[in-house]
This record gives sequence, C-alpha cells and structure tokens, in this order.
Amino acid sequence: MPSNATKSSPQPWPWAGQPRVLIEHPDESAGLALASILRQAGYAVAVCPGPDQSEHCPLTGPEGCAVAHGADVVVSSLGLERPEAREVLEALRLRCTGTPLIVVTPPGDRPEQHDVPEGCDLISSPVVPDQLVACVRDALARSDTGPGS
Amino acid sequence: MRNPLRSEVEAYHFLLLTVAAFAAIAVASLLGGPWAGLPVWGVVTVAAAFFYLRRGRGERTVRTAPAHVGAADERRILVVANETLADERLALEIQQAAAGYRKQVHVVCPTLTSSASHWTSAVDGARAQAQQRLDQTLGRLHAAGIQAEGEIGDEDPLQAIEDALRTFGADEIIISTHPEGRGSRLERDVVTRARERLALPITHIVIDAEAGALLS
Repeated sequence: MPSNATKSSPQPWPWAGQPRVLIEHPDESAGLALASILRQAGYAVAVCPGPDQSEHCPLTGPEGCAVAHGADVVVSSLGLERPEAREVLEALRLRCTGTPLIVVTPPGDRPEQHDVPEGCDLISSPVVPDQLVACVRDALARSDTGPGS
Repeated sequence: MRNPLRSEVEAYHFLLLTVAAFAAIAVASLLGGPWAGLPVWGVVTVAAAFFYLRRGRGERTVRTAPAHVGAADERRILVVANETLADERLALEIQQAAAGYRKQVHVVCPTLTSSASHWTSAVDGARAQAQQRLDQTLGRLHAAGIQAEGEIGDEDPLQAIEDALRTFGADEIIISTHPEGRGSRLERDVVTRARERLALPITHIVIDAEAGALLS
C-alpha cells in the first residue's frame, strides 16, 4: 500500500478496461520485474513500495488507499515478519474484502508456517513468471470483481 | 508542486484546522486587544508551513503502467520528442530497446507553450512547432529505417505521455529534453515525474540544440 506520503497520479488507475494488479514490494527493481511479467500477460499494474518503519499505510488509517481499493488483485511481497506489513495485509482483508490477495512467501517455507490472513493465496519466492500469472488469473477467476470494473 | 489536499479526508482536516486557527486568533484578539491576534496568526502560519514541508519529505511513490498491447514478440516504444531528435542516437536507443522483438514506435510531440500563451490560449504557434518537430523526427526515423507514427500531444508532457499510453500501451519510453535549465516550464522535471508515476523503463536523452550535441 502507499505510505502516508505517497504521491498518486490524479487518477490512481488511469488505464481503463484492463484488469488491475497492485504489486507491493519494498525493493523497487524487484517490484518492477514482477510488474513487467504481469504487463506482458495483459494486466495493468501499480507498484507500491509499502510502508517504511516510520510511516503508516493510508489503508490502515482513515484516509484509505484509492490504488488498493481500485485493484482487482493484490500481490504482496512485503513479508510476513514486519508488523507494518502484517498490518497492511490485515487492512486489505478487512477493507478490500472482495479483492483477492496473493502473498509471496520466503523460499523453502511451508504454507502452515505462516499465520497469514484468511483467504490469501500463497506463492513461494523466487517467483516463476508462469506461476505468478497463473496465480493471478486463478484469483481473478474466483473473485466476483470483474476486471477493470 | 505537491497538492496538499489529496483526499476528502485531508480537505476535511484542513477545514477543521483552519477554523481552529481562526478561532484562536479571534479569541486572542478578544482577550488581549486587536493586536494580540497577530502573534497567534504568526505562530499558526509558521506551524502550518512546518507541518506541510515535513510531510513532503521522503515521499515514496506508487507507479502504474498499462498492460502490454500487441503480440508477445512485439516491443512498443513511445518517443517523447520535446526537441528534435538526432537520428543516430535515437535509432540506436530504439534498436537496443527492441532487440529481439518486432518494433512498434510511436512519437508524441507535446505542444510546449510559454506561460503567456498558456494563459491567453494562443497555442497555434506552439502546435505548429510541435507539428514541425513531429515531422522532422518521423522523417529522421524513417531515414534510419525505423517505421514510426506519431501525434501532437497535450502541452503538459506527462499528460501527453499518459494519453499516448492509453492507446499505444508502450513497453518503454524514450524522452528527449533540453539540458537542465534550458527547457520550457512544462518540460522541466518531466523525466523525474514520469519515473515517479510510471512503472515502465524510461530512457532520457539530453540534446543541446545550440551545440548540436547529445549529452547523455
């Protein structure tokens, strides 16, 4: 999610009619790499670095996050250890209830090791492009939210 | 410049704080006489400026990009010709960006207006110059063996880029600008703003038209 000081385009999602995937990744180049994979597969993307330790995510506050609310799927690589990241995941589940959430877990971890919010899909890093695309496609197919709506 | 009010909640908070500040000034004036409100006004103004400047520090950005358009083996390149582009360098950049792919090149020339013509809506001259830049750039690209099409864009280069992306759906953007300090008011910071807003590779070419040289 965007941090409290995040700048947004005047329109959070300027690309109409395309399924929208929000990618949360603290590493900018890694986030852009995931974005490139999903763009090639036909998805509009937004890449957010997530909250810093000194910041809070607007999704967890009263202001909300237009980018998150407009997303059809969220892919979170913020990690599961940091309290700020967990807070963001819980806020997503609470406030964007119809939006599928895919959580990228550290390599080698078993799903049961993680206390992830209910209803999340897990995908292990390093992320394989075909696996990521399939996961997003399946999540979209299961959700009631139509692409680009 | 950053917009301090980016949501209804922020606007509501701003209204409440403004009311509180004016109430404090009025109370001070009532209790201490007409001049007692002046220092309160000063404190409130300095506090508001301090708060605003601190909030703008260390901003992080959400970057977006449209979906890839076209076949999987196609690479779409958007060229923003703020200044006439030299053929060799641009052709080289395009070849590198599209290595191993079929190329689709789209050139957009923003209508770069002066402040005076912006406010008087006298943009005909700027549009004619943009058309000239577009024709020259397309001509040089064709001469270099690169098929391209183009259009005149919005006077704000960033808006022109977004408009082009909606239909063209580029995979990479190449922006040419004047050297720092010599561009128009709208040209300044366009590369920085584009990189802040767009999740796409952006190549920046600086052209010193006076020296006839490519600087980067």
